[in-house]
Amino acid sequence: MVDGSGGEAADGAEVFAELYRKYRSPLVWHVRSQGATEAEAHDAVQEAFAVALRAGGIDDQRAWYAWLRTVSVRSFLHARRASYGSGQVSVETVAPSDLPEPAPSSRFPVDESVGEKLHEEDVMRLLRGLPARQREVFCMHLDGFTTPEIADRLGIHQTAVRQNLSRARRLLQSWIGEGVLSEP
Amino acid sequence: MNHDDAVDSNDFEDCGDSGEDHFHHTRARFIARNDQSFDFPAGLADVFTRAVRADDAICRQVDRLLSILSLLEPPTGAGPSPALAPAPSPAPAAEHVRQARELIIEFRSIIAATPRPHPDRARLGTLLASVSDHLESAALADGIVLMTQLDRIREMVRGEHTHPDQTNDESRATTTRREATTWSGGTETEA
Repeated sequence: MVDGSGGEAADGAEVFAELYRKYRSPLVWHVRSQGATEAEAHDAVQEAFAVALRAGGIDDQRAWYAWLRTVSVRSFLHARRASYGSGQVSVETVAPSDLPEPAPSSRFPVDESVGEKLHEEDVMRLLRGLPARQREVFCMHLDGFTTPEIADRLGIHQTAVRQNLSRARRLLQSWIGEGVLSEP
Repeated sequence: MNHDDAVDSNDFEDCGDSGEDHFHHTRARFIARNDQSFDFPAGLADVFTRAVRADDAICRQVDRLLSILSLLEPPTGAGPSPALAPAPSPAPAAEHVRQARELIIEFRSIIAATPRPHPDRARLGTLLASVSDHLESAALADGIVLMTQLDRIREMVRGEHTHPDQTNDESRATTTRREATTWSGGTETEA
C-alpha cells in the first residue's frame, strides 16, 4: 500500500512501480478504445500516473485503477481539445524500425503481429461505434468490473448496467456477423 | 478481477459468448504485446519527470506569494524624511511580514531541492494559491492605499504635485504597477 508517509517512501515507490507495470497497458487499451491514437493513449496514461503520483496515497487498488481510467480518458480528451483548438491535427505514425522486415522467400510477407494489430484496430473501431453508455459499460465489463461495481462507478442501477451490456453485446454481435472483423 | 462475476448471463439475452471472446482475447493480446515491448523503467522515469514538472508550478505560486508580500512590506531606504512621514507603520507588523517572506523563501528552497514529488504537493499548491488570493486582496485593499500616501509624501519632498487631471484611481494604478515589479526573479529591487 502506498501511503505517502516519509518512512515508507521506498516501499511506496516500489508499490507504485509495481502498479505501473500492472495497469499501464490495460489503461492504454482503454484510452485507445475511446478513440485515441497509440501516441495519444500513451501520453494520457503517463499524465494520469503523474497525477496519481502527486496525489499520493493508494488505499484501494481497485478504486485506484478505476480512478486512473477516468483520469486517463479526461487527459486524452483535454489534449485532443487543446490540439483542435490550436489547429493541430493528430497523426499516428509508424517508426521505420516498427515495419516488418521483408521476407526474401515471399512477395507478400505477412507478419503475424501485423495481422494482430489489424484485428485490434477492427475491435477498437467496433467499440468506438457503440453508444457512449454502452461502450463505457462494456469496456468496464472487459476490464473485469462486476455489475455492482459498474453500477456504483457510473451511478446507475444494476438493471441499467445489464441492459446496456446486453444491448452492446447484441450490437457487437450483429457487426461481427456482418464480417467486419479481420482474421486475428 | 473475475470476469465470471461481471454479469449474470441469465439476466439478459444470450447473444453468444464467442463474439465477446473476440474482445477478451484481443484485449489480452494487446496488453501482452504492450507489456512485452514497452520500456517500463523509461516510462516510470517519465512519470516522475512529469510529476516534478508540475512542482515548478508550485514554485511559481511561491514566487507570486513573495511578490505579494513585497507589496505589504513598507519600502526601506528611499522613503520620505521622518519629519514628513505619517504615523509610521507598526514595526511588529512589518517584522512579521519580513519573517513570513523569509520562511516562504525557505519553503521554496525545500520544495525545489526535493528529489521527487511529495505526495502532498497538490494540496500544498491549493493552499498556496488560497493564501496568495487572500494576501492579494489585502494588498489591494490596504497596501495600495498606504503606498499611495507614501508616494504623495515623496512628491511633497521633491516639490512635485499630482496633476489636477490625474484621478486618484490613476495614481493608484501607477503605484500598483510600480510596486508589482519590486520582486523579480528572487531578488528584491528598489521601487
